[in-house]
Amino acid sequence: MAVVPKFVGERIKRREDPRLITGTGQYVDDVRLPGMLTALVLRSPYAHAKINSIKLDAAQKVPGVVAVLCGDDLKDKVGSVPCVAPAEHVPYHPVLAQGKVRFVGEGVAVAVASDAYIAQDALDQIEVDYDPLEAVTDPEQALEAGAPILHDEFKTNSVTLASVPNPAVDEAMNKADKVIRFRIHNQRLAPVPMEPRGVVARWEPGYKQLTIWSSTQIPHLMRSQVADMLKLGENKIHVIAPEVGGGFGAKLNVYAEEALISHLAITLKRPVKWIERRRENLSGTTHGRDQIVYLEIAANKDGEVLALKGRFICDMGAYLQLLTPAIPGFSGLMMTGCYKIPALAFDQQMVFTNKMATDAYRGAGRPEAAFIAERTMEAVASEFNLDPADVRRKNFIAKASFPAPTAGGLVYDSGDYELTLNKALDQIDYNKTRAEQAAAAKEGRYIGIGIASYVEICGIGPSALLPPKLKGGGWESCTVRIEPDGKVTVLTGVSPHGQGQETTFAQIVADELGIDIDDVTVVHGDTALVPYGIGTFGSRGTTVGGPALMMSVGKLQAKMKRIASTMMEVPPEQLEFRNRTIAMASDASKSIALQTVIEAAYGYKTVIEGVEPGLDATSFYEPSACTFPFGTHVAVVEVDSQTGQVKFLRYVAVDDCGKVISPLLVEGQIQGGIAQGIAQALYEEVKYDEGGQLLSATLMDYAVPKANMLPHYELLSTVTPSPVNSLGVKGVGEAGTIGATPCAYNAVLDALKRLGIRDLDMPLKPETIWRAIRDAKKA
Amino acid sequence: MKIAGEQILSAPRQSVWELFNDPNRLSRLIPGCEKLNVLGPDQYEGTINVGIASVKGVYDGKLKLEDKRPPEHYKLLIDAKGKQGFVRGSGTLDLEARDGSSTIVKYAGDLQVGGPLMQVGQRMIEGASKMMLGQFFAAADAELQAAAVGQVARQGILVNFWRYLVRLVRSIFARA
Repeated sequence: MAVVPKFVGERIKRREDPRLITGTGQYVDDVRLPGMLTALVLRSPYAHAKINSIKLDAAQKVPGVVAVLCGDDLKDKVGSVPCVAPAEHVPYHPVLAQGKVRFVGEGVAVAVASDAYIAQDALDQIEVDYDPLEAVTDPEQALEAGAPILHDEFKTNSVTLASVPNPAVDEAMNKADKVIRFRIHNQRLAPVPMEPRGVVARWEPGYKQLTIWSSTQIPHLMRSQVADMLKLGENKIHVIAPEVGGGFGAKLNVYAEEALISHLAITLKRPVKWIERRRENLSGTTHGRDQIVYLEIAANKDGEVLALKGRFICDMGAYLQLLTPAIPGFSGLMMTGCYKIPALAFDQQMVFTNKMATDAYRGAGRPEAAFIAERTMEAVASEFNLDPADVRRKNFIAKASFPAPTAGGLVYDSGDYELTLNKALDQIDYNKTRAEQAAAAKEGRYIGIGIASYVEICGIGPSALLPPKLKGGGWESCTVRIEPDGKVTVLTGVSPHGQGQETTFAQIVADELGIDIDDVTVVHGDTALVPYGIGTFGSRGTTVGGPALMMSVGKLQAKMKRIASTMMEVPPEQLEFRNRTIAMASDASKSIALQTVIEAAYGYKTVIEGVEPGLDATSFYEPSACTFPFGTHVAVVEVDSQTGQVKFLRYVAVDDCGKVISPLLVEGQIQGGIAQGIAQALYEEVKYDEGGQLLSATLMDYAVPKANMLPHYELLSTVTPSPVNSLGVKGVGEAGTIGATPCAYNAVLDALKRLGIRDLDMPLKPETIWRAIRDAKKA
Repeated sequence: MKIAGEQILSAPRQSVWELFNDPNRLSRLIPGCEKLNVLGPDQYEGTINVGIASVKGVYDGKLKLEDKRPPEHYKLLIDAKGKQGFVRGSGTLDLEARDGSSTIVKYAGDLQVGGPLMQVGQRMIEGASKMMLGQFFAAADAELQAAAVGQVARQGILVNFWRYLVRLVRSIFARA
């Protein structure tokens, strides 16, 4: 038999892709069931209004319509949309508005019909009498006296005020050569997965069994919450996350429609489908960021940063979704970045506004933190006329200091920050590029070099770090089953939707058992098949799901070694898995075919003392700590002074995500991440007008970048294994996003530096840059 | 959305004032207006059919006149909605006699536009409202001139708008 190759670390093509690119995967909208109805949701055109009355009768009479309901019909039948993160004020969040609407896009009524066209006709017949109220969209104005109050019961728009004071910060401010102060706004962004959300629900009355297909990142957590909302047993709900066409954090949530469509399926005793439309997606699926920080930096002339202080104002939107108030915390704790800044203090004022809720969006709190840290380095360099690379070197946590406790109270696992910086600068040829920049300046051209060194927190994490109300912790589950024919089924609790664990987990199992990758199938996203799992978010799939897989593989290896050792009459500790055999480590000729051992485990004709029949192991892995991937991105841009257009000349990324299972997938994650990070720096912004109307409600207006708006990526890496887990992995799902935004931003600002432009609000669209250049030249 | 501007109509202030208080004549001059009925003193209800970008729809609304000072000023409150969105807000109309035979019309408004009309049409909405105002004033001017010689303006809105454009271009060159 041919020798089985090694798979871990090889450029294995994604095993998910053939079905996705040939259109044979199954997304929620591909689910077609006999007798299935279609639901559409009527959404509020007002940002803030009292609902006087809703007339449904005309809609109910439209031929083909099965049901039309509004919020009042669901009182006491469907519970509040959940928020599990702690906050002082957590409002009741009905699945359809009751009495009042609080943002454009809030669901007001639902029509269920034999097809979507009839359902739309029904929506057109619904008459809602609104009494428009004054809206507030600016979080700072929302806190002022006299601002319209969203939730009357709280008598304030404050969600919560979290303070992390530190007297050492004030001392440092007094002692420092200079205190630099400025304001940063991480603008509101839309995650825009290519596949919007969608739900299909089926109720089988005879079995009292509900099946929900949903485009979600967290099938089990969603099941727990929906069970709670519908007062159904969790063993009566089966959740399937089929192919999920992108999540980016927006599907790390539990939405009104998941409970609403389930309720409709149960009461109508017919399967019901709801597929989100793009305009609904942009207005009614969680947004990300929208965080203002007033930053104070205490620094010395030599570039040393002594303390950071931040006053945050975080726009939460009108309601709190699953983790809404938990996101800003990461920004505060991580804002010292990869620097040994000794003192940190911050407070975070979270605010209700008449906008869609914010929640996790790729990076979730850490892009804001990295942006703060990297703007800090640039500001210090600018203030004291130092080289920005040198300021970073001056402040880096040294390689020898790991595990490194930080001012934010975290302990970074491992790292070598200067190595990634040096590698990135070598690749770009920093001194030469600076010389070219100076030469170009003489010709009146604006070239800028942007640096961003980042560190992020991944592999979340020890369960104690997760909100106490979350049903489920920070652990992950995995079952590995070796079938009687020797094929292996992996059932993982993570729910990959582009991260590629069907490939990486198969690589790991194949290597561990000495078998071919094609002999391994990875199953996920089905609560009836997979043991309770937490899901995919926060770059935790391989970092937390991987060790759970290793634990189960380890249990089966131990069991098979015991069987083999009995059969071969050698001690089990001398055996290893190699090329479809279990062989003696010292003498490969002494081996037994893996299949023989598997058959012995299943056939069980010879009873082995203390060994149960079968080959099936389940494990739950609780991480002892988080992991901290890091890296340095460097960009060279040219700004067109006539048009404000930004052109990338180079983009170098050096990322360290620990041990790499699949280099191809790591590159893919970094490329996509950089695209989204650059999008924040240069293009994207969710924009509401003063009255709360969403102006970026279509993809004509929300500027998701196209290929020609992005650079060619030069991707390099360093490998610093994490000591936290058995695989040495750190996670890479969000790294690109976190490094790219400050990198691209700093590059543009560096290009504009000689005009005296120090600070611009993102996105740095041509208009913003053009105006800044014009104003600077006028002055 | 804020709109503001001024227009010169070739008729005495009193005639212009009468026109701006005559729902029957106004309904013929407002682009897309399907009806404009009197509800009570200084209160009207109407229907308008307009398409902005891909958002085409019928809007029903109420109009109310306040702070009337004939023949020079009133405040207009508008509240209209349809399947494709809503328009709410207020505006002012001021008439200044330019000379015995022409009047300066000054208008200013602050409108809240919402729903798909705003979400899809927002980049077009200002241009479209300017165009509709242009059409309206062209038609109003024709109406006033026709009324002066005792005729009903025969031309449609588009012809009037065309004339308005031609005049506008001429006036630009005349100034130069």
